[in-house]
Amino acid sequence: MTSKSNRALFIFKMILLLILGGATLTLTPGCKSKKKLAMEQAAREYAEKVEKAKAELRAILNDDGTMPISEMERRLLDIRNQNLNDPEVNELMAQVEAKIVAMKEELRKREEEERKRQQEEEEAQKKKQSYDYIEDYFFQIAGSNDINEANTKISEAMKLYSSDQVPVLIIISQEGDITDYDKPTTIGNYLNYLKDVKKYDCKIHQARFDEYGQITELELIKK
Amino acid sequence: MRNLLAYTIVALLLSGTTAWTQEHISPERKQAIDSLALEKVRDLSKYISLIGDKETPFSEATRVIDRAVELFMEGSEVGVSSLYRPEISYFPVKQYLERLMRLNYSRVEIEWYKIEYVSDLEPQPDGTFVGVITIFQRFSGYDQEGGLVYQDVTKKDITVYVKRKETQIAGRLIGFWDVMLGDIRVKETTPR
Repeated sequence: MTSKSNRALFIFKMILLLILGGATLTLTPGCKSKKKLAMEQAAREYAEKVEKAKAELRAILNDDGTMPISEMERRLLDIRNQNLNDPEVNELMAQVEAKIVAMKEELRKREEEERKRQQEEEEAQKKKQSYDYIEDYFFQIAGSNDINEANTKISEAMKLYSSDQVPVLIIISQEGDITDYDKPTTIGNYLNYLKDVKKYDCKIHQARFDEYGQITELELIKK
Repeated sequence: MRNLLAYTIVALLLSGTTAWTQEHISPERKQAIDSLALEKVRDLSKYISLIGDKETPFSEATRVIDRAVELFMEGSEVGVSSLYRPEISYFPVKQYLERLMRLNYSRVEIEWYKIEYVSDLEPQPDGTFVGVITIFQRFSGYDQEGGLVYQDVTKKDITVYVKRKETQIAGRLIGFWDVMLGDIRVKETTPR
């Protein structure tokens, strides 16, 4: 009886082992496939992120100036934070970074130029106002009704100058570093010239003064 | 001898090219120079009108004569014509202007118009630009009663020389264009 029951127990154990072995053999490939799927899914998602990043970076590089710099910076930061570690993405990020730096420099230059232009305009305006009293005489002499009136104005105007020999330079053209002048004359001759031709068609470009506030040199420019 | 001649010709051509290269200027600068030369002729027309005007005081007229003479190259002459005689007389500039001041009319009107280039300013090998400006002059002489005694219209050609020069003003080197007028030649005289 004992031997019978031992035999049955042995058979039962064997069957159980076979079932367990079969189950193990059946179930193991199923686990492996799930991992693979997960890895494939992750790889797909990574590839998608890389492609999306590349597309966005190229869009920034090809932008013709409609995208604000702040938007470019925001997009670049988003992509950088993804840590994609793709060589092509890294290269494109470097290019975008360079573009942003260049654009910022360009913007800085433009702002600087605009600031300078405004400053020059203000200075020119101030200068114009400060030279008005000199030019008033030019217009009055040129517009005089007769020689006596013109000569009176010339005498008055001459008080502004250190002598009647004060040089008057007239710029006829300016191109880069080259400035072309008319033949230099003196204030005495110039005021008489205005009286003779009855026309003043220049504006004061620059005036130099001595310590008494009298004009020692006058530079005019043709309008 | 033949070689020497060839070298001379090449040297002359090269020196001409150098002068042209040195004087080559942009169209904008050239336009400024053209305008400057035209302006000098217009200034002369104002001076002539003032000198001829009997109401211009003598001191003013002599001053204007001096200014007008300064516009010309030394030795330049001005042609004078009349409807009453076929020949044209030429006078040195100062003599012409002094004669103009003393013309035997009670009132004189001189007007220059259609002042324009007939020959553009062209660079010469020595760097001087030379051109010709034509003008029409309407001359009217009146007697004491204000009656028109004589009137004609004369077409005149003025040779213009323009050269870039440099001078020092208060320690600064100034490059300027010196415009000098040459002879004024009579081309045609008509009654009106």
